[in-house]
Amino acid sequence: MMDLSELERDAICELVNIGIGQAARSLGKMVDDRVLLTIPALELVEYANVLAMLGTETDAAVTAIKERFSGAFQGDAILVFPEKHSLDLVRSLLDEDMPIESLTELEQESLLEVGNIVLNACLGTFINILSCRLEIDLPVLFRGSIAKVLGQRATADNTIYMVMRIDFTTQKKMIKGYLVFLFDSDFTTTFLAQIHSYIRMQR
Amino acid sequence: MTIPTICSPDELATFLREGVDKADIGYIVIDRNFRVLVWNRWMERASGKERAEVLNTPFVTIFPEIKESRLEDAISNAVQRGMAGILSAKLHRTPPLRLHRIDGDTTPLTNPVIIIRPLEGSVPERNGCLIQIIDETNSAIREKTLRAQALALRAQEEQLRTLFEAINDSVLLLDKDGSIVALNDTACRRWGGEKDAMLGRKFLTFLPSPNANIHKRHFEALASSGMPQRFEDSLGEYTYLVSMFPVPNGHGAVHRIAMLASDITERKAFERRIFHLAHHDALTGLPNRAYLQDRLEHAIDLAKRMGRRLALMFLDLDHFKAVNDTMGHDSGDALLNLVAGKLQSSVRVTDTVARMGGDEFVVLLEPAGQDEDIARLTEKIISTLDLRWGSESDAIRVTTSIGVAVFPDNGHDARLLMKAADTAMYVAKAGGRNTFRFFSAEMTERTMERLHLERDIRDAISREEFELYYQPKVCFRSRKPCGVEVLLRWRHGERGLVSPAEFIPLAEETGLIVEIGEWVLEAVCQQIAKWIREGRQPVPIAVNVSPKQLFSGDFVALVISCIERYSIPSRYLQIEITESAVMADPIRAATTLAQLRELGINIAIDDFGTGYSSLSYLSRLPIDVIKIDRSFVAGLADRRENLEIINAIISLARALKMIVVAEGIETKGDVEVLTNASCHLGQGYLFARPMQIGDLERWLDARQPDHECWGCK
Amino acid sequence: MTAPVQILVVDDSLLARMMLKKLIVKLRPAWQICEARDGRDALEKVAGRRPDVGLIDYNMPGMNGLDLALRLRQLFPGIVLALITANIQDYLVREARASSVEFISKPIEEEKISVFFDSVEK
Repeated sequence: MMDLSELERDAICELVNIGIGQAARSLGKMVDDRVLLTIPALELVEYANVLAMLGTETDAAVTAIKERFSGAFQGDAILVFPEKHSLDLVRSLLDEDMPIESLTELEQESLLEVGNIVLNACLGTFINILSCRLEIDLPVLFRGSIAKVLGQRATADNTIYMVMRIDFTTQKKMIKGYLVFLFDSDFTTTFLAQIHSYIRMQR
Repeated sequence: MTIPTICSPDELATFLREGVDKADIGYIVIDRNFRVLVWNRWMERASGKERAEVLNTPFVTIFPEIKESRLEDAISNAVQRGMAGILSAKLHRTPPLRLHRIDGDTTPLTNPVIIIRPLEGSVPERNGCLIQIIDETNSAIREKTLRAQALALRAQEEQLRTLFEAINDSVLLLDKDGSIVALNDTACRRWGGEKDAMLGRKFLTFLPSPNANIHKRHFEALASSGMPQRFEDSLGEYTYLVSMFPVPNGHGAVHRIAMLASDITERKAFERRIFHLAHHDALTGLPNRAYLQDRLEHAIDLAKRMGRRLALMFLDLDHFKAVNDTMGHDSGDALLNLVAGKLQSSVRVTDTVARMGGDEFVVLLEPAGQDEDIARLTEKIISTLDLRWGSESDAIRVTTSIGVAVFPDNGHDARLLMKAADTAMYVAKAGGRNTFRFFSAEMTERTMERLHLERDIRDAISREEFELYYQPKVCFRSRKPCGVEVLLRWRHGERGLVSPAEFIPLAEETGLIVEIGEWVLEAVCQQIAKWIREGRQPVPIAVNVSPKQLFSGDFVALVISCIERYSIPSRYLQIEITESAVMADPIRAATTLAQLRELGINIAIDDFGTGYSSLSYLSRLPIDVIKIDRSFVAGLADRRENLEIINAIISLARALKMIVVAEGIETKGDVEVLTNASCHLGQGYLFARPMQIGDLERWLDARQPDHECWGCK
Repeated sequence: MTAPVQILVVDDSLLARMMLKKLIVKLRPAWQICEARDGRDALEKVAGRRPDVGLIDYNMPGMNGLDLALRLRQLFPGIVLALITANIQDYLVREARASSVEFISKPIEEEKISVFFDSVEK
């Protein structure tokens, strides 16, 4: 388990915060409503703890939108929420009274786009503020266990995952989701090095 | 990306251009300044803008609607930061680009999917992006259909699952080896397991072994025969109705086995309750007559096989009616409950105590010991049931009479045994109550009838079942009525008119005749008083008095009291007494009759000629009238010897100053003969049948009684 | 000689406070800085002071930045305030402006802060 200093934590939160703020603006414009996105917590954890953090069993069904990034650092950015919330998310972004049939029809593409907006906004902030170069691929939608989404890894795997809880809210509904940044091999260190240089610049 | 060199660069460029042009999607490449570099044929048709028009034109100029939109953001992200993007028109209120469909009509393209990919140039300044626009209309329709089907299936599945879980019965789906494939929540609860832990395991392992055996047998029967199984099983306090039926696969073979267990505990309890209600007496909760019948038949079957004895006691409370009448029905009911309780605690658990209704109970001893043992128990019951009921001051003593019948001695079936016990009980009652009798062969049906009759006579007075009929006597000389004999009729509640020949002897025997006689005497005096009151001159009324009454000791006092009470002249009252009665105790008879005669009452000897008394002996008695028995009168015209006897009687009677009455006058011949024989009076159907008072009065009015007739003086 | 301008900086992020202080020192070296990590902390810190300018993060634990701004406005009617936040949705911008609170989007950049300071001094 890697510990983060308060400043490291603040910096990452700030970056994701800014990204999420932009994502919220995009979503809000699209649906012509307020979208509240809050970021209460950030953790750097190992595989086994990701499962614990997401508070579900390994094989509980989730919906995930995953984007591959490469360049200055590489890995996967993943937006995860319990499968039963995926329809609620789409519903909250669309007409509350929309029949379930139409919702189902919209679900997949809508989720892809929502994921794309949120993940691009976060990754875009990294690119802008850290002045680095990243290539970001199209989002892919997953349904199934978290293990499947993260890509079957042994629980002994000591890869570091950066996990943030994110609550989407429009009007009444509160939908909990998680942002997971999974860096390939030792790119976590590369990412943190970028964060450090950013912090140094601000002092 | 390396381009394979199987063709020349020129050829490749042509193919690429043509390929892009013929693609079935919108294909646009723009540079970092948003200027259009590639615009394929699809775009020309969807936008209506020729390639020449748009090349090198900023994208925002071509589509002003994208300003500050999500699409513009996405394109910027791609061009400036290398981020790919996807836009689905569905999530947006308005289409991101104003295009129309290319298949002939100009319908707006409402649901394109736009995919944006960054393109890396030779230097960052030459970066650009590729915009692909895909018309999802057709695939959307197909998808919509598929989704609708999937939704319908999902809904159906959901309904089935909801039903499956909502069912309050346990439902399990089993594999052919008995392992659990599916089960609902009810099954989990009933079988006390976690659903996940139960799935895949053999269902028999969740049952206690006796239950498992039953289930196993039926499961195997189904597996081998394919026939549905149905059976009841109980687990603790619960009772289940278990159904197992085969679930065929597509080819009709048994694929799986469905098992349903319905909790029928309540239904069973209800059935028991209904059974109890139908078989038990509501007041005491004891088995009722129907149930006892059942038990008795079973007991007899069993006793026959085992060579055992049974005893059946028939109990009847003495004086229960008095309790009900004086203390009310609630008190009566309480007494019955007390008796029920005492009876039950007097016998063994194997014995049955039942209530037949009213104050009748039956105890079935199963098995029964020897007669002495039975008698001992019966005595114990009698003493247990010897009670004082009610408050101290006006308590009523309640006792019990019991009749006992024994199998096989007194009968081989339930009906005979019940009858025998009932008979014995009546005998016990007749024998003074608060006692018991074993049935014996002497207690024949005749005895029983007499006992019943006796009971009925007892009730007849209070129920006012007795009626008085009057038969006139006619003077042969004047041919006018000059008196009547009163006769008793009994109109029984169930049997109709009962012949006096049937009940009088019994009433005599039991002494009830005294009570009846008193009633008759009273009624007659009342009638005479009524006639006087109405201003009608009475005719004398003759009352038959039984020897029991005559000799009761206070008969004279009774007559005096009646005459005085109704203030009637004694001459209107006559007493008839049979010859045999007088001859039974001539001395006592003489005393009593003399006292009556002193009062001015006429005395008649009835049925004269049937006994062996001599007329000369009778002459010493205080007698005014002799009534010749009908047997001498019948067929008088043909039977000379009877006429001689009658002539002898008449002449002697006349000599003794007695009046002669001939009974049973039925023909005119009789009248002629008797008139010639100087008989005073006649009585019989020829003159009049016995009549009720109203008819009598009309009959008398029509004939003007001869009050001065010699025989009536 | 007027009293030095007092500026209140409220942000739950240490990094953000550091960045803001650095910019303030650079742009307005004479100003006195008072920093707080959330709304409640800020209200405690301003007791006995009279801040002229406030830079307030919106998304903080407890009281949000806009509510804090309105409270400060009650306490110090002349105070010049800015919300500085990553949440850049239009509704929030409108609400801030409607309450005469300036809106500065994150990330924190020297130019945005400088423009705001210039407007304060006008």
